[in-house]
Amino acid sequence: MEYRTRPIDGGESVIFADVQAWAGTPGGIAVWLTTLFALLFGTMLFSVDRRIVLGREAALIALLAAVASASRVLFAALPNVQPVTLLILMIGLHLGARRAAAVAVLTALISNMALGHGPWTFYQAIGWACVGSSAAVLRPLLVNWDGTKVRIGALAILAFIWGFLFDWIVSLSALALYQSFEAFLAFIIAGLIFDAMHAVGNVLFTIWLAPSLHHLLWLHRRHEAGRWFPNLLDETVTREAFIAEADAAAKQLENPLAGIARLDGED
Amino acid sequence: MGPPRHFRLPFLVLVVVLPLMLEWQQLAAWGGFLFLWSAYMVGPSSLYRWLRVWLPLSILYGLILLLFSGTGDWPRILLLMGRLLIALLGMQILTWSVPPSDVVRAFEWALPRLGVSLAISLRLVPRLERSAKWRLETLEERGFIDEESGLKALRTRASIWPGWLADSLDHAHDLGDAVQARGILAPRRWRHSVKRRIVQLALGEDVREDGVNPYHFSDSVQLGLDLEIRLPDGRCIGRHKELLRGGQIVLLRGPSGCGKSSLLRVIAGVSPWQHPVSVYGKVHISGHPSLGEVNLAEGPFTEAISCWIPQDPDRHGLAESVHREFKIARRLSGPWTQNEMLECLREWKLFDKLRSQPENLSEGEQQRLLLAAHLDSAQPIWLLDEADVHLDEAGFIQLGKAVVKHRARGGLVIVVAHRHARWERIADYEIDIGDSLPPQDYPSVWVERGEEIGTPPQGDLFSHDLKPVRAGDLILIQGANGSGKTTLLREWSGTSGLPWLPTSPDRRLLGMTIEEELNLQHPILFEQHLAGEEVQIPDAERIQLQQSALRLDLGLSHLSMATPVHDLSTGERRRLSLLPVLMRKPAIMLLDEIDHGLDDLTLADLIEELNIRRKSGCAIVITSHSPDLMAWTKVSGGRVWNIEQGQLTEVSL
Repeated sequence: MEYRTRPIDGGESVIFADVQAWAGTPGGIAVWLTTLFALLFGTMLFSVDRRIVLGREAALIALLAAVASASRVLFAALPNVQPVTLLILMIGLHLGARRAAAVAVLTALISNMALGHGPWTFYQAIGWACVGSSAAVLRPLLVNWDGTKVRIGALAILAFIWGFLFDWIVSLSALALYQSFEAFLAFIIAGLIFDAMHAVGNVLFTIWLAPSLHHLLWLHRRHEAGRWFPNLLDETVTREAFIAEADAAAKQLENPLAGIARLDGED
Repeated sequence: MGPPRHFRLPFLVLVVVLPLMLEWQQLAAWGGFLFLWSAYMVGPSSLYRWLRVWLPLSILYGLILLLFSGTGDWPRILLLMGRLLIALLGMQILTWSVPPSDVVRAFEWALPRLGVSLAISLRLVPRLERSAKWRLETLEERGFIDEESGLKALRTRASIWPGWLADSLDHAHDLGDAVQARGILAPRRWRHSVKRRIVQLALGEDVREDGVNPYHFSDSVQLGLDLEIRLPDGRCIGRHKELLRGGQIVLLRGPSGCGKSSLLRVIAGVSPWQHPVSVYGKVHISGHPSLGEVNLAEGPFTEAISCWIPQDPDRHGLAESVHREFKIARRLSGPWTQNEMLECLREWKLFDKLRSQPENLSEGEQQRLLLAAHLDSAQPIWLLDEADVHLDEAGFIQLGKAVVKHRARGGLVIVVAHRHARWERIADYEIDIGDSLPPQDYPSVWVERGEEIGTPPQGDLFSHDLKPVRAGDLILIQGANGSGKTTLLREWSGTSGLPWLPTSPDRRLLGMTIEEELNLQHPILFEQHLAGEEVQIPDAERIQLQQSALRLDLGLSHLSMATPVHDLSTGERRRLSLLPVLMRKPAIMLLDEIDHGLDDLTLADLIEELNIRRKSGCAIVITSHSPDLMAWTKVSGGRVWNIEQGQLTEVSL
C-alpha cells in the first residue's frame, strides 16, 4: 500500500486519502456497499437473462417467482414469517443455483411492487440468491442417495440458520438509511427477535411444506425426462415390415377363393 | 401525475439521497411538497393507507434507535426518522406512478428474456389468486366446509395447496410452450440487420423483419412425418407416417388421449413431453420461408417454426391486456400498423374489448383473442388444436375464412377437432389416429317431465319470463360468445346451491394425483383417507363403490392411482371433474360446454349417463355451440333458451 499513498504531486494523495477516509465512515460504507450490491444485482440480471433459452424455463421461473411473491404478500401481516426462504431453498435444491437466483431477483422485484421498493430490494435479491446457492451446494446433505426423499432435519437446520443470516444481509441496507454504526448495531440487536421469528417460521414451513414441495418439483423434473431418438424402435420397423409384406402378398393373390370348388347347389 | 418517464431513474436517486442531506427546515419543505404531490396523484385515502403502515413502523424504528443506541439524542433520532419517512414516500411515489407494464417494457428493452418472465409472472399472480378461489369454491360445493369445525376446515383447506401448485406448474409449462412456439425468446432481428431494413425502406418493400413476404408461400412447403410417440410404460400413443403439402387443410381425428395434441406439439417445435413421452423418428419441414429446411429433432428452436393455437385459451395468453397481447404477437410477425390491429379486432368482434384484461373475457372471447392475435399469416404451417370449441357460429365462420385464405396462399393447416362435421366440408384430407371411431348417434330418450324444481336467477344481470324448470327437463342454453352463458350458470349455482361444471376442468380438480383427487371428491372419502385403513367410516365403502362404478362408466377405470392429474388428456380431466357432480345427484345439473374435449364415443357415453339421470328426475342444463347437441336436444324433447343482452328467452322448437 506504500506506493499508493506516496505523494506524487501532493494533490492526488490528499484526494485519495480523503476518499479512503470517507470510505471507512458509515456514510462511505453505505455508499460502496449499496453500489456493490446493486452491481451484483445487475450482473445477476444479465447472467440470468442470457441463460434463459427455453420458453418453459422462462415460464417456470416466472411461476415460482409469482408464487413466492404472492406468499410473501399473503404472510405480510405476520412479522418476518414467510415461506419465501424455504421455497428458494427447495428451488436451489432441485433446479440449481442459477434458477434460484433468477427466482430471487424476480421475487424481490415483484413482491416489493406491493410492499415497497428501496435499497433493500438489492440486498433481499442477493440474500435469497445466496440461500438458493447454498441449497444447491449442500444438495448431497439435504436429499437421500437417489434424490427421491428430502432430509427434513438437515433442511430445517439450514432454513433456521438462513433465518438469521438472510436478515443480517438485508439489515445492511439499514446502514445506508441510518448512516451510523451505533444505529446499525442497535437495529441488528433490536431485530434479533424478528430474526428468531423468521428462523422458527422457516422450520415450521419446512415441516409443513417441504415434503409436498419436493414431490412437486420432482414431478416437474419428470417432465424434462422426455427424449427424442432419431431412429424408430426395432420392434416398430419389424412390425411395419411384416404388415407391408403381408399386404404385398395379399395383392398378389387376385382371388384367394378361386381354387375352392363350391359344393352347394351342384348337381 | 408521477415523474416523467425519462426522469424516473434520476428521480429515484434524488428522493433517496436528498433527504439524507437536508436539515429540519428543508426536510419539512421537501416532505410537504411530496405529500401534496402524492395526495394529488393517488388521493388522500391511498396516502392515508400508506401512512397507516409506514408511520408506525418509522416510529418503531425510532424507538428502537433511542433505546438501544444509547445516545439519548432524541432530536437527532427524530430527524433520522423524518428522513427515512420522506425517502420512503419518494420511492412510493415512483412505485405509484410506474404501472407494472412499464416495468415489463423496460425489461423487454434491456433484458428481453427476463422481461418475458416478468410479464408472465405479473400475469400469473392474479391467476394464482383466482385459482385458489376456484379451489375453495369447489371444496364448498362438495360439502367440505359447512359442517366442519374451524380447525378441520383449516386442515382441509391446507390440503389442497399441492394440487393448486401442481396446476400452476402445469400452467407455467403451457405458457412456456406458447412462448417457445411463438418465437418470443428469439433475438429481435432488426437489431442485427439495420442495413437491410434501411435498403428495404428505401425501396418501399413491404416485407417481414426477416425478409419474407408474408402474403404468399410457394407450393413447395412440405411436412414429412415418420415418428412414433411412446409413454414411459412403453405404450404407443401415436405412429405417424405422412407427407403433407402446402395448400391443404388436414383434419386429424381420433379418440381422446390418442396423441393428437402431442403430435401438434412436436410439429410446433415445442417440448413434446408435456407428459414424459419419448419420440422416435423424424419430422422434417422443407420450404419454410425464413428457416428453409428444418429438422425438428434438432430443436428446441428460438424462432417460431409454425403457428400453433393450443387448447384452453385462458392458459396460453401472455399479456395483461388485449392491446398488449396484440403488440407482443405482432411485434414478431413483421411490420404492422395500429389500424391493422383495430381492423382485426373488428373482424373478430373484439373491438370494444381493446382495454380489457384477457382473464375477464369469456372463454369464447379469449379463444377469439388468441386466434386474432396469433394466427400468423407469415407462418406456412398452422396447427389448430380444437380451436373451434368455444366459438359461436360467427366466430367459426371467421376462423373458417382465415383457414381457407391461408390455404389459398399455399399454407398447410392441420386441424384437430372432435366435432368433425363442420370441418369435413372444407378439409382436403383426413387422418385417423388410433382406432378409427364409427360415426356415433347421440342416444336420445323421451322423459315425462315432473314437478317444478327451480328457475334461473333474475336480477341486475339477467331477466326472463321463462317457465320453471321441471324434473327430467333437458335445457340447452345458446348465445353468442360473451353473452353471459357461463355467468348465468355460475349465478344460478351460487343462488340455488347447485353444483356446476365449468368448461375448464382445472377449475374443479383439487388433487395432485388421481388418488388425491378421488379422495377429495367427497368429505366422507377424505375423512376415510385421513383415518387410514384400520378405521372404517360408515358410508365410505358405499360411496367408494358408487365412485368406482361411475369411473367405469366414464372410461376412467384404467388410469393408475399414482398418475399425476396433469398427465391426463383434456378429455380425461374433463370426465374426472364431472365425477363428483354425478355423485352428488343434484336436482338440477348445470354443465358448461359439455362436449369440450370429448370425442364422439365418450360424449355418447356421457349423454347416456345424463339420460339415466333425467329418467330418475334430475334436470340437465347445458350450454353448447354445437349444432349436433342442438339437434340432440330437439330430438330428446328438450327446451332451448337463448340469451342475448341479459335477456333469456325460450326458443320455440
